Amino acid sequence: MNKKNIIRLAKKKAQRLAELRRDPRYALVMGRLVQEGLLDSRNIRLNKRKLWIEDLIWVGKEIEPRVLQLLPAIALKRPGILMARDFPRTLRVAMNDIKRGRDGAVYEGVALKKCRDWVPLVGRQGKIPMATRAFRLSSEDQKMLDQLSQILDLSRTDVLRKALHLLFESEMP
Amino acid sequence: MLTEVLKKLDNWVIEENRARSARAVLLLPEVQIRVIGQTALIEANLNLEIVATMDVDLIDQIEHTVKQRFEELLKVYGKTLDPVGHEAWMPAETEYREIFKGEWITGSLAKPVFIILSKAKFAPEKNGNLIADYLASDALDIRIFDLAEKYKVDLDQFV
Repeated sequence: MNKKNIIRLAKKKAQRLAELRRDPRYALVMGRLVQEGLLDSRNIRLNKRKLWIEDLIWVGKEIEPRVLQLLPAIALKRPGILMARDFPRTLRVAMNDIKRGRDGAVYEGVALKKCRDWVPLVGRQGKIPMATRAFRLSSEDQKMLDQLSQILDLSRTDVLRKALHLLFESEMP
Repeated sequence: MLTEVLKKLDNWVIEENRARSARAVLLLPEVQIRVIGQTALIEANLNLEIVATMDVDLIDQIEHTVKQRFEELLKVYGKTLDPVGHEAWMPAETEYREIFKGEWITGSLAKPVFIILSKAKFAPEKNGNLIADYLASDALDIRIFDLAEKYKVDLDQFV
C-alpha cells in the first residue's frame, strides 16, 4: 500500500478509536487503573469506582491491549476493585494457570507469561499468590512433620517447603 | 515529570560530589540519561492518546549510584526503572531530543518516530492502535515510511 493510502486508512481507524474512547467504559477503566498506579496516561480523570470485568475485557479487546495483560493479575491480587455479572471461566483458568506457573497458556489472545509479569506489580508489591496442593500422608509421615514443625518452630507448610528446597539443592545438577 | 526528576537528580549529584570532593573521594561521573519507550512518548506531549506502563526504559546502562538515586526519585511518581530496558531494540538512526542539561546530568528523549518503529517491529499486537493513531496524527514524521521499508516493517497491518 502507498503512503497516502496508509495515512487515509489510519485516519479512519483513528476516528473509530476516538469514538470508542468516548464510551464511558473507557474513562472508568482507565481512570481507575491510572489511580491504582498500574498504568500511566494523560488527560484521564481518576476515579475509585469498582470495575466490571466485562468492561475491562471490552477496553482490552477494543482499545488498549495492556488492560487484558493486567486483568488476571488484578483478579488475583486486587479482586476488591472488580465486579462481575458472570465471572468468566477463561479468566478463572488464567488465574489458576498463573498460580501454578503454567506459562504456555494464552488468555484472550495474550501469552500468559506477559500476564504473569504483572502479578508482582499489582497490590502488595513483590507478592506472588500461592497455589493449594493436596497430598496424602501416612500417620508416620504426619508425626514426623509435626515433630519437625515443633522442633524447628516452623509451620508444617514451611517444613515441607524447606525440605523441598534442601532436596532440590542436593539432587538437581 | 521527567524533567523535574532529572533536575532533582542533578542537584543530588552536585551535593554528593561536593561532599566527595571534600573527602577526596572519587567523584560521580557525568551521566547521560536517554529515555525510550512509552515514557518518552508521554513526555513528548504529543496530541495522541498514549497509555504507558509504569516502567521507564533507558537505552544506556548508567552508573550504579546515580541509577539507585534515579530509581528512588522515580518511585515518588509511582515509576520504576526497567532493569532490562537497555536491551530494547532501537534503530541505528535513532535521534534524541534533549530535555534537560544540568551540571552532571543530561536527559533526552528518543524522538517518537523511532520509538513507533521499534514498537511496530517488536510489539505490533500490543501497539497496533497506538501506531494507527500516530500515522493519522499531526505528529507523524514521514521518515517512518523509509524506516519501515529499511527494517522490513509492514505498516499496512496497523490500519
